[in-house]
Formats: sequence, structure tokens, C-alpha cells
Amino acid sequence: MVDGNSDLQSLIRRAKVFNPDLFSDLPAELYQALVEANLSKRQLNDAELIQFSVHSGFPPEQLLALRRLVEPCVREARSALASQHPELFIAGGALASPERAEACWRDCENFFRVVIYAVAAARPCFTDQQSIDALNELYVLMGVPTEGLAYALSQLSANSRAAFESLYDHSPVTALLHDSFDNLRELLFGGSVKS
Amino acid sequence: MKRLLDSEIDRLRLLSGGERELRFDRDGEVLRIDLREDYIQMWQDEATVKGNAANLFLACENSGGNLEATKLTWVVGSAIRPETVQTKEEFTEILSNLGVSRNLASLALEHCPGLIGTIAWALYFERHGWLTATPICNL
Repeated sequence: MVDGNSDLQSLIRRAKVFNPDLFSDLPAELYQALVEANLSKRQLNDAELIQFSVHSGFPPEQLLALRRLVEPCVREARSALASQHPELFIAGGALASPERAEACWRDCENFFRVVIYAVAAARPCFTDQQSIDALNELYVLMGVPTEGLAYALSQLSANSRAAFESLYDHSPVTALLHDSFDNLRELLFGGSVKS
Repeated sequence: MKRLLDSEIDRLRLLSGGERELRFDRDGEVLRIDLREDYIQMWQDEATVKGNAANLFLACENSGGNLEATKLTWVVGSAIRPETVQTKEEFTEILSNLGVSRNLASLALEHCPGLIGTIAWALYFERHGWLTATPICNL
């Protein structure tokens, strides 16, 4: 239930998986790129990733490679979940209906999108507890099965790190990827996520 | 706009059983009517804040500008925009501009009692593409 001080629109406004305010001290063109990409719910494009690589000092090919991992890593998380937690996909499970599962994968893609923003900017803390608390409140209101989402996010974190390490070993980007996913998992689901 | 429990909504709630949800599909597209009490209350609170004159509450991608320049979306991250429509044709046109197929708009007109007429409805897209509608009425 939305409490008396937080109407739905107010709750929506506060519920953020990515808080651009935490990036407002970046050079103006980078900050603007993040704000615009996030508003459009799109990945940073090649030119923007290259701009970020100049700012962060990361090899541009590593940031570009990260973006290419989204689709295969989400796919891998799906199959890992199906084999490791089949109970989620049978009647009564959090992802039992195809549409619930589809929504979960879309959430995973969105989580990966904002993690890439964070890595590109070299800022693994890309949201705050208040924004995530509002998001969790909204998830409850909307009936989002967060149990399935927590498992999926956990898988996505592990898969993407392994895939990136296989390409570039232990680069600073690998560490940022790990920290960014960890921060998100911790804020969203606390320490209760099993992988 | 009427906020009293309509007998037609009462009938829908009886039909929906314990799940408090009805689904109608046609040509691969799905309209979901969400009748959970918490949810109706949530939209009712929002309607009170936004203004009682509107008969549609739409979860849109953008809060400003013309309605034709935005799209219907999922509630998380959306701007809830109140709108008033007078005719079925106007409803279909507005939803079409928001990216909702004419098929789904037609399903809503068929299955959402009081739509445009006596009952305000909230509409949004589920993340997987279903159009979801909730009546805004007192329980």
C-alpha cells in the first residue's frame, strides 16, 4: 500500500535503479550522455563508450566488449537458472509463466545496462538505498517476483564476470564489473541471495 | 468521475475469483484486468492526487509535451498522466498514438465496463507487452 506521504507518482519518481545525480560531477558531455541514455533506456553507443574510455582511462575495446556480453550472459543466466532452480519454472514458482520469465530477463538486461554505465564511468556505486527502497516498494505493489529476479541477477553477475575474465583476465574493468553488480545485489536483495 | 463500486466491476471481481485478475487474448495480444484491492486502492489514491475529472490514467514514458509524443509503458519509471476521452474513436486514437494496437484498444473497450463512460481506468503495459487495466472505484 502506498502510504499517505507517497502517492504513486512520487514513489515512481523516487524508485531508481540508476541515480544520475551521483554522476553529476562528471564532465558535462559524459553526464549528459548518461542522463539521455538512461531516459531512453538504451545502452551507451560506440562513440559514447569511447568518450568514457578516454575519461576513465580504460581501453575502449574493453567497454565495447562489455556491451556485447549482455545478450549471451542473459541467455546463459536463463539456462543456468532452469537447470539449477527448476522449481522456479514449475507451477507456483516465481517464473512459472512465460510472461513472468520474459519480464525477468528484461529486468536483467536493464540491470546490465546500468552496470555498464557504472563501469564506463568507473563508479561502482550508481544508486542509493533510498532509491532502491522505493523500487522495492514499487516491485511489491506491482507484484514483481523478486525471488526469481534475485537469482537471475546473481547468475548474471557471475556469468558476466567469468566471460569478461576469459577475454581480458583481471583488468580494472573486471573489478568494477564485479563491484557494480555486487552493490546492486546488496542494495536490492541484501545478503540473502543464493547463487 | 464515478468512484463508487459499479455493479459491473463487482461482477468482474466475482468472475476473477481468488486471483483477482482476468485475461482476455486475441491474435496473440493480451489484455489483463487487475482487480487486486491494494492495487485499485493505489490507483484510487493516485487519481485523487491527480484530479478527479480524468477518466483515464496512463503510465507514459514522458511527463511533459503532447500525449502523442510519448508511449504507454510499465509503471516503474513512468509518468502517470490523467486524460479525459469522450468517445470510443478518441480512445482508440489516443491509445494508438501511445503505441497500443487497435486490437488491444478494442479488447479494452469490450471488457472494461464503464470505460469512457462512468468509470475511470488506469492503463499501462506490462514489461512483457500485456496491456493492463485497473478500474478506479471505491471498494
